[in-house]
Parts: sequence; C-alpha cells; structure tokens
Amino acid sequence: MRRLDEVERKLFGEAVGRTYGDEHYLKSMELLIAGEGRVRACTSETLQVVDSLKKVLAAGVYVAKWKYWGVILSVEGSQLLREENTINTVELDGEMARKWMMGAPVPLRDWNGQKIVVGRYRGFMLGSAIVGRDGVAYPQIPKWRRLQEE
Amino acid sequence: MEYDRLISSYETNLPESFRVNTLKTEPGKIIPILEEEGYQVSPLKWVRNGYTVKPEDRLSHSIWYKLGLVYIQGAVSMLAAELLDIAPGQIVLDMCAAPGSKSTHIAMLLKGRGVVVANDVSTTRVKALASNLQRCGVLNSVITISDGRMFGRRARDFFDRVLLDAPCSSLGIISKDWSIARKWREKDSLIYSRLQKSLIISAYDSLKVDGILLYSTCTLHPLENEDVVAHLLEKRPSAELLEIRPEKLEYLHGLREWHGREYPPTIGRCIRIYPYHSGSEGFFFAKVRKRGEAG
Repeated sequence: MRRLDEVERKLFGEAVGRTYGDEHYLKSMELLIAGEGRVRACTSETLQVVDSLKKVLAAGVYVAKWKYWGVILSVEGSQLLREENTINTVELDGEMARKWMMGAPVPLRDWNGQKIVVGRYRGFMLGSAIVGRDGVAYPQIPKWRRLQEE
Repeated sequence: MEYDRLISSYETNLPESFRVNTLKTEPGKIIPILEEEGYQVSPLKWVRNGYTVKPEDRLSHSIWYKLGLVYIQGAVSMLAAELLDIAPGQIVLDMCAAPGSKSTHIAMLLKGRGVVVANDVSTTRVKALASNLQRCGVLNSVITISDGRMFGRRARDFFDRVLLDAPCSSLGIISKDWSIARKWREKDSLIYSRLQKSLIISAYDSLKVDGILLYSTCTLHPLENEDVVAHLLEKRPSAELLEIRPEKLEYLHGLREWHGREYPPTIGRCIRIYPYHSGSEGFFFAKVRKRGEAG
C-alpha cells in the first residue's frame, strides 16, 4: 500500500472525471494504492497515525478499482461522488435496486451508451456497474455484501 | 428477588436494535423509508440514533443494511462509545475491536475528524471488522492486527480515548445463546480476568494524560469486572475512576465486596447493567481518567 504521487492523482482524477463527471473527486483526501489497482481513500490525519503504528493492515476505505480502461467506483466510492456533477447515474426502481445489490444483471431503461454507470435508488448511490452492448448492467457488488435471494 | 429477575430476563429474546450511520445518512431520511417498508421502529431512550426494530432478522437482509446506512448492534452495547465523551479531532483506540460495532460508532461520533484505530488480535475476526468499517464508510480509520497487550509499550501516551471492550465469558448475553451458561466454569472467568488485567494496564498506558479509558464487558462476573478495575487502580495510582450516569436507563453500582475481596470505595462509580434493566444485554462499564503526575 503506497500513496498515489501527484502524477497518478492527476491521472486518476481525470479518469474519474471522464467516466463519472466529477473532476474534483476526493481532492481533499489522501489516496493510496494497493494490489490490483485498488484505490483507498483516507484523511491526512489517518496517514499520520499510520506512520506511528505497527502492524497496520489497512487505512481508510476502498473507493475504486483503477484499470487501464477506466475506473470502477465501489459502493462507498460512489457515495463520495458530488452527485450534482455525475454524468452516468441511472435511476433504479425497487426491483432493479434489489437485483443490483444481488449482483445480478439489470436491464437498463434509459441508458445513453456509457460503459460504466452508477446506480441510484431513493437518493442513495449503489456503486458502479459495467454495461454490455445490449444495455444490461452488471453491478460490481462484492460477494460479501450482496443481498441473498429470498 | 434480583436473581429471579435475572433468570427470567435470560428467558426473554433480546430485541433487535440498530444504529443509523450518520456518516452516510440521517435518521430523518432513513427511518421514514424503513417505516414505509413495514418495519416498526422505536427510538432507544439512552442512546442517540439508536432504535429497536420489528420484525426481527429482516433488516440485515435489506438494501439499507448492505449499503451501510444502518448498523445492527445491541441496545446496551451502543452505550460504550457514547460514554467515552468523544469529540471530533481525537485519536481513539478500540483495542479489541472486531467485529467493529463500537469502532463504527466511534467513527460516527468523530464526525470525520480525528482517527479511530481499530485493533484486534485475531486475523479471522479482523475480516469482519474490515468489512464493517468499509460498509460504514469510515475514511478516518486504521486497522491493526496486534496483541492489545503491546499497545502500552508501542504506543505509550498516544491516544485521547481508549475503548477496551474486553474478551469475556459473555454471561450478560446468555439469552442470545444458552450454551454460554452451560459451558461456563468459574475457572473460565479466572482465565479471562488475567488477560483483562494485562489488557487494561496496556490500554491505560497508551492513553495521553487527561485521556479517558472505558472498560466494558458483556459479563456480570466480578472477577472480570470490579477485580480488573481494582487491579488497575492498584497498579496505576494516577488512574481516577469517573462517575457514570447513563440517562433513562436503570443500573446498579459496582460491587464493593465479593467473596471476601474488598474493592476500593470508588469502585461504586462503575456501573452494572443487568438484562432486566435494559430488556437487552447485560453489561459492565468503568470509566477511567489518566491524571497527570501532579493530579
């Protein structure tokens, strides 16, 4: 786990801006990168404390997976977006939100061609999904927090 | 008789309770949604943002739980973080933190400023801790995997607040699991007591001067409660027990004497909450301030 340097921060900010529309995403936070392009965010105070402690496993919250083709925001990552700026938010109804949180494919109604979208249900962000050419969203919900089928 | 009240309270199922995670939402937004979805929600009297909910076992399968807007936690357990007098900006250690109920609560009270260090010795239990801190969106958290007994040496005079919710025999939550009572032997409490005494000394040493330590257990055995606090008072003369007065919740004061052992008079400042007081878990709390040399 290491801090993103200035160049990486800029590239990350641009990638989030391109996909999600929020160019100032997490500007006031420290960003850390762990294995497989996993980006975590924490406060600067938190990093100071990390430097003083031993046997640290993690700091802050996992906010995104950063791949060469784009950024997938986690549930928490999407909740930290400034919503007024987002360009790829899709509104979900109750049934769609349930499926989304189960990690099941969700056919989108008003999709405008973006490859990555953020789901929103009753004003709450539900994380990102990758959308196929057929307009079906594949939510990126980790197994441990998926809703189980009843 | 108190004993009869205790036994009958063990025969009652604990109500399900939860906390609204104010790092992500506010009660005014989420409670109406829950009510709309058929949940019966009532506020807890002794804690802010705490509620009981019916029907039970449903909330943990809801979207709102998975999103981290609500956190399911015992009704009395919520008192621990409240009693620590946390203010934004402080550095707070939760020494035995897994699965993270109290750490996430501490983070809520810090309001994004300061840092919560959530530590646990078990690599298995830390997974649940990490998941819960993630789900609650705690940006100012650090997770460490360490033996709590090391903090007193490695991080001496470092924390503004320390919560030691010590491993214990869990006699306060028998109604959750009767096998706790079946398996319990007095020697178990003795073994826990030894560990708790080491932990409380380490927790105290890791506090800054004027810092506050909250010692809590979900057991009712004096060996794991008053005896541990008395040990701290004996070994660290600068430790000062503070009065605890939870509002709108019945409780008893710490025992002054048990099986011929006499404890210092200030031990009465500790509190014992029995299941019949709260209609929920049984808990013991002691609040200690670290005075300066002159204090």
